[in-house]
Amino acid sequence: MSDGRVSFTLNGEPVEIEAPEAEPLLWTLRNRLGLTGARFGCGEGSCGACAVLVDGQIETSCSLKLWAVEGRRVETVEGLGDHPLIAAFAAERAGQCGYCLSGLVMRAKGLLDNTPDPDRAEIIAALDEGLCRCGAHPRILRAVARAAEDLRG
Amino acid sequence: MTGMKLSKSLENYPLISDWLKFPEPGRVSVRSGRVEIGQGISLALRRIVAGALNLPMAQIDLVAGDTRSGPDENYTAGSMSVELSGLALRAAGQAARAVAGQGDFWAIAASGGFDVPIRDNLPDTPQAEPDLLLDLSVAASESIRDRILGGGYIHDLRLPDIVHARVLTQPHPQARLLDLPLAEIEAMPGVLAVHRDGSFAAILAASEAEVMSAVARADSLADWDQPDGGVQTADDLLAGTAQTEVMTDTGVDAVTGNRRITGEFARPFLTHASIGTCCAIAQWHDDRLNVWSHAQGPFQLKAGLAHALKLAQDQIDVIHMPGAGCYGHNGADDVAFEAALLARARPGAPIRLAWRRADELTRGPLAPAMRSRATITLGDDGGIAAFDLDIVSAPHQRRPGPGKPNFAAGPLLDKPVLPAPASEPPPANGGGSDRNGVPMYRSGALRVARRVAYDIPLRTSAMRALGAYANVAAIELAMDAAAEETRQDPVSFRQAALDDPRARDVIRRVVDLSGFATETDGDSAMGLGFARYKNKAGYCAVVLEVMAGESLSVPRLWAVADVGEAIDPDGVVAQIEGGAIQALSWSLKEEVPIIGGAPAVSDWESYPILRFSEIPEIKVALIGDPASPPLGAGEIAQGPVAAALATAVRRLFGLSSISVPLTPDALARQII
Repeated sequence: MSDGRVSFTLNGEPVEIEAPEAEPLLWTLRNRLGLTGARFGCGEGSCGACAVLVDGQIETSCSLKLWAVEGRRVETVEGLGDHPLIAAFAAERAGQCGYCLSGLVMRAKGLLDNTPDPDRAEIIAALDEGLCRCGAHPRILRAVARAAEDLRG
Repeated sequence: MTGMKLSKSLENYPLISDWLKFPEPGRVSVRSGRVEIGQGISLALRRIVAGALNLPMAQIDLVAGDTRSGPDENYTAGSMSVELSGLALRAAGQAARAVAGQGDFWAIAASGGFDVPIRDNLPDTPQAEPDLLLDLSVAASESIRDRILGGGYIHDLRLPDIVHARVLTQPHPQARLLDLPLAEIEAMPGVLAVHRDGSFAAILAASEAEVMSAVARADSLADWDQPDGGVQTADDLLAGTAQTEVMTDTGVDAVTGNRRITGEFARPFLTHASIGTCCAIAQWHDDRLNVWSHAQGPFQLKAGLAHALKLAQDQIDVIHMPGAGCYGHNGADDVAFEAALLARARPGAPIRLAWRRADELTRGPLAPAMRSRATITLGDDGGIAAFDLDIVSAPHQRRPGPGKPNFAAGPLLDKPVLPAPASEPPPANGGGSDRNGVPMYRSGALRVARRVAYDIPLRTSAMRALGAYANVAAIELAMDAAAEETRQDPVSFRQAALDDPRARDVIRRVVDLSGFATETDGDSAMGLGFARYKNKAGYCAVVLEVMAGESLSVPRLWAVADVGEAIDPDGVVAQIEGGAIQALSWSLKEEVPIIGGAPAVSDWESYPILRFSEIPEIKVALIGDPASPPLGAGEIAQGPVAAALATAVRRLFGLSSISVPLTPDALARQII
């Protein structure tokens, strides 16, 4: 892995980082930038615990190389502290162990940015690639619908 | 004593100050051996203390599972936390309030006024408690918010000079590591060391990205000697078990009757399959070992580590931190032992070992495969003359503890550390494979017998609900079939055989709520399942609807539960919803195939779990008397859900013997 300088926008702020360019973005976020919201689950992009938005699209950061975000817009859950999604998940008590939640919140963010009034099927489709083992699914679906309603005012 | 049962926890830790500390004005610090494993126990325990002390929940902090302080309360398991730790804390709080009178908790604590026995200071009449439902809701919301935004998991702990470690994937539980080219791996970027001890091997590196690259390379270079062989079914693996243990027999053989009805339910090996992988941090300094762990029993882990590492117990501290949900005895203890081995070999630095996905699915204990057969002998009056339950299972108890150095890596070492023999949890804890083997239904005679494959060459241990999942399903299948045989409605048939009004109530209510009906149009059917978990915890009745299509689906599910006083009612509902979804996931999708003696899953493709598009719409209702004692609620749904699914599938396809998972292929084989 050769070191390089990679510049991108992280939660609205420009960042420039010197790191091996082939490093998975997940480790850059967690271990260089101290953002622990994205989590390791499988390392193969199949559980979604590490999901982030890149230019508005869902990406699994465990399998996305750092160089691939050069010049792009990266959003992580840390940027959503005041977003109605967090309040809605909290109000619906949508989660048990919570490990999967940040990835699922990012999937929901990606959905609501483009589809302000999703129906149940659209919410399910947006979340379906994300896994939850505790069985908090019904509450998570309710939370996303609630956040959509809050966002529409 | 004012009708309050003094629990075992209180006998071991009698003083108010063993449980409650008042460290600074306005703050109460609660000591509990029960740990948060994603089940919301910390909220329930904080609520109990706030209520007893008449303080807002926001003033109460929980310090749980730290062997440096606080009570040793064995494992956080079996839905016993509220019943044991909760009642102990309530007693401590009530005694503290009685001691304090109009005085100030913090002033009294500072003068040692709470170093007095709880038993001698309980009030004669219970004190009024504040309404804390709003506090509870706020605390629950805060906890979800914190979990989403990150920082609180063991995976997030960063200590100075931390070293990242990964273990090599062992391709088979009995595989021997023949050769590992150390020099080539040590030359990889960032690698600090390759640790090898027998067939246990791990890579240590300065960064997580580097250790992941290096261990993948090491996996590809390692030369293992591994046994080979073909696919083994669970039945094959359990077949060698000759010894029958009769758990109870009130004279079944003496019952005559030629109408025998059976219901049979089998499950394969499963895995806990947390979304987050097992992780531990260990640090060795000055002949002492510190371990940060998400294990369910920090004190038991400490005892097991001391035994395995030949250390004195007071050389070790275990500090609990939350992991992802564990759902039973997963690999949390195993990874802690492995981190400790690495820390001992490299004193000074904190060693952070996280398992990879394949480790998570196979290196920790599997959930036991099991087959349960319920036989009902019908009397001439159409009632149940005899109930006979025959159980074949892998063992459910392989946790570490005093004298039990039970760790995955132990047998791999140059000087092997061999585990204690597997066992089954004792009847007082609800039993293991025989959990809920005794039906709640009245019968003339009863027999429960089990054959446990204690020496099976696979590591199996507890997963949520243990044997209750399969036993309740088998019992309810037999009840449904017996009702049909005697041309009775399955609801009335059950009600007539139940003496406990609370049992009858949850069934009646779930039937009302769901509009349960026995008719089927050939494409869909409803099923009913009921149990009181361990015959002493919460009551739960479930109805669900099954639809046949390309694959079986469950579009709707209803559950009614009576857990007495629900300390955290919404938390109980969440546990039932989650238990239902996980039990459906086991039943419809999950299996760890055993090939050549090894668990053959490595990723989420080979071990799929239920997704958002596959979950039912769920309605849960809590009923019962809130003034009656709180009953364990964490694992009450799994058995009734399996039973409701099994009885619906029976109604749809005429099966009286069901093997899960009911994947399209497996179902087709069973129908033919």
